[in-house]
Amino acid sequence: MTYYKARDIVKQGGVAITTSVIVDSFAGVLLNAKMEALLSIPILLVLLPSLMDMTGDIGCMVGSKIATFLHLGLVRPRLEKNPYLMRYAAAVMTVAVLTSLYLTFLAVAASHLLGLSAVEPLKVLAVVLACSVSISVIAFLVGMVAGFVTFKHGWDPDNTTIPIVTAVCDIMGAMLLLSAASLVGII
Amino acid sequence: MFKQTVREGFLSQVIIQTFGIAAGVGLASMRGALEELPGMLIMIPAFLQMRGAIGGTLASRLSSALHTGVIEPRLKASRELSQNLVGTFVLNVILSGLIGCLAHFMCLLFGFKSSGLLALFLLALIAGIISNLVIMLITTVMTIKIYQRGLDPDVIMGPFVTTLGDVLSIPCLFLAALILMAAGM
Repeated sequence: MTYYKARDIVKQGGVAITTSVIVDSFAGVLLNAKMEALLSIPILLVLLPSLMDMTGDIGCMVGSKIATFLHLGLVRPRLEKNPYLMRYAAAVMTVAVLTSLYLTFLAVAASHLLGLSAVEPLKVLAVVLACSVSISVIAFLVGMVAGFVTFKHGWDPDNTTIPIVTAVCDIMGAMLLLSAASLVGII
Repeated sequence: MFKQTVREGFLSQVIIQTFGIAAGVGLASMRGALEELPGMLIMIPAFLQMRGAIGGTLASRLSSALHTGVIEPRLKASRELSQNLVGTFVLNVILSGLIGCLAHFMCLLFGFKSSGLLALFLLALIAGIISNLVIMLITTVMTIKIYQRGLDPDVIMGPFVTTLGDVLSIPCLFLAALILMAAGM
């Protein structure tokens, strides 16, 4: 008998990943609805994998930290002002803003080099910042609720907050990218 | 904690997002395929998500197996390793196929044009199998090598594999699209 069984890997991984794949298909539907705009403004396609990645990463950072805080007893599972959460939120927000600056620089430079139709760099920055900052706020709110509810039920928040937060962040990321782009008049 | 979180968080984002933009440039240069194969865009977030999740869980299991001694830190075929790889491969085939079918049904549900169930199914399946073989090979070799050097693969491999998945998925989807278009689908 082996410790690892291919059958178990398929079964356990299958449930978790299938759920996230279904949620992400809805993110795909949102993008598909704006396909013409995405194809005519290719810098949005250049940004897409990075933005989806960044929103997922922010979700992970928030989800796993809230779980750790709960386990350590530094945060109680109720909605109240907490110095640890506030400081972590400020740090995540700072990472989001710095990463947005870097991402905008890369995307604008890459589009320029490839000769893709130009968009004002400030507008690109506005879109990226709007996405990353709002995602950080959403990740915190969803992470707190998901972490607190599962912790109160006696479940391990390490198993639940990350999948919930990252799935919400993926859908919201696609939605925010498209709405921010139309708000600043790119699409 | 503030300074440390910002420093580590931003540094890892700089590395990850550099690859992310490379994936984005790939996506922007396959605009033609996205137009030719309606429904393909729908599967992209799901495909990237699956690639990251399957690679990440494989790396994480191998790290645990090396730390607990279930798998020896040598590049050698063993039953434990082969069970891991077979499980990963089967999971990948099932999920790739599912993603293709989902893309078609989402098109039907929301009234978008679709390239058809078979075309989207094959597109996701071919791209899934090619990218998975590359990811399995790189993940297995690197996790074992990193462990041999006395480094902790848990810390390094997870973020690396998910980023690698993003960069690899786009050209693999493109390749699969070229194959299908050449076959006249």
